[in-house]
Amino acid sequence: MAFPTTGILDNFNRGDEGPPPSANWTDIAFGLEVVSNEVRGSQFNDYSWSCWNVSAFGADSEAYITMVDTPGAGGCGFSLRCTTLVEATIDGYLAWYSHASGVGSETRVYEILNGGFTQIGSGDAFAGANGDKLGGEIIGTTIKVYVKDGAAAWTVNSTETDNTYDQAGYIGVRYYSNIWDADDFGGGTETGAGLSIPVAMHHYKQRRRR
Amino acid sequence: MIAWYIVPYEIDISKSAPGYPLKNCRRIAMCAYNQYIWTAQGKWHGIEVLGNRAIVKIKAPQAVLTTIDGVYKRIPKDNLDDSLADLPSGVKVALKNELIDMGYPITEIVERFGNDLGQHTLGNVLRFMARRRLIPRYDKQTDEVVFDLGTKNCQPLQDVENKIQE
Repeated sequence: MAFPTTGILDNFNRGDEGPPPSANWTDIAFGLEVVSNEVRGSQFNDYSWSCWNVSAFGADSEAYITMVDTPGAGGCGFSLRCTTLVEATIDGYLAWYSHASGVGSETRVYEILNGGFTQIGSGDAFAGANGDKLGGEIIGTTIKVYVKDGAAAWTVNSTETDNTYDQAGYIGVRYYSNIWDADDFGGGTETGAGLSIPVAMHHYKQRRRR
Repeated sequence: MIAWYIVPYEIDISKSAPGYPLKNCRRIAMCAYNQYIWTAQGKWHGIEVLGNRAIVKIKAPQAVLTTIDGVYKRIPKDNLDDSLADLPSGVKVALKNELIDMGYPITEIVERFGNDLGQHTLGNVLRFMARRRLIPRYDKQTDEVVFDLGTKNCQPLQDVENKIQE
């Protein structure tokens, strides 16, 4: 199935703002901010987390962003199927990219329970670079982390399953550190675009005029 | 080669954890060996079970398994259909003690297995381990994860079996 299936929700092309980045976002913890037409965490050496509050999506949903640059060490990811917009009570899933200087960068999936995190499975190696795109998707009980490595196509880098949360919820972005800029946040309810739809074939026979 | 282990959960306090700098992020301790396992073309997967532990299945070269054997408890069979009948008595006792240490009452263990695990398969025992797991809660006041919310279902053991094949 193609990824993503939804459009851009926020391109951050406006004056510096936040946190939160706009009235369409709710800060879960510290919050994101718009700087120079891009989005970043508002905290240095701490985490920032904001969710799109315009509507809940799903239950099947997706989110994605462009990583303008990557920090020396830290992480960035998407919260999916979030049950609330309050850190102490938020449940759901996190599709996460952890960036390490040198070897050790990975994509991972976490369960979120009351604002705490439990990693599902082992994670998978991926070394992100400036300009790469990162995505998260949950369909049914399957959570995927997508990466778009430069000009290459989107590919699945992590796949995990979990059946704890199955309702529609909010999507959001969580960062560690404020020296990691991103752009073009998109997402929403998974539309299933890219599935082949049967088309009736009509055969025409050209009649030759005599 | 394939091997099964019982591995503890740990708090991930690295900067790459989504919870950093808070101690609210848990992971299977085998994650610390990811680069070592992946460099050797190996892979692993696990599910959480009772006792803040995980059942982990690894596919990796023997040298990697030998290293992991020295760190975590290796389960003494490799295939879910393997009978435990030929295990030494001491090994079966150790396996039973692991179930007790996880938090399963002896009455529940005996009800399921009788008095001899040797009458059962590896799969029977692992599925029993995966009957339930503790619900974690992050206490922001003390900056620690506690387990005072009871238990919930585990993810299916079959997820692990499907993901890690010989």
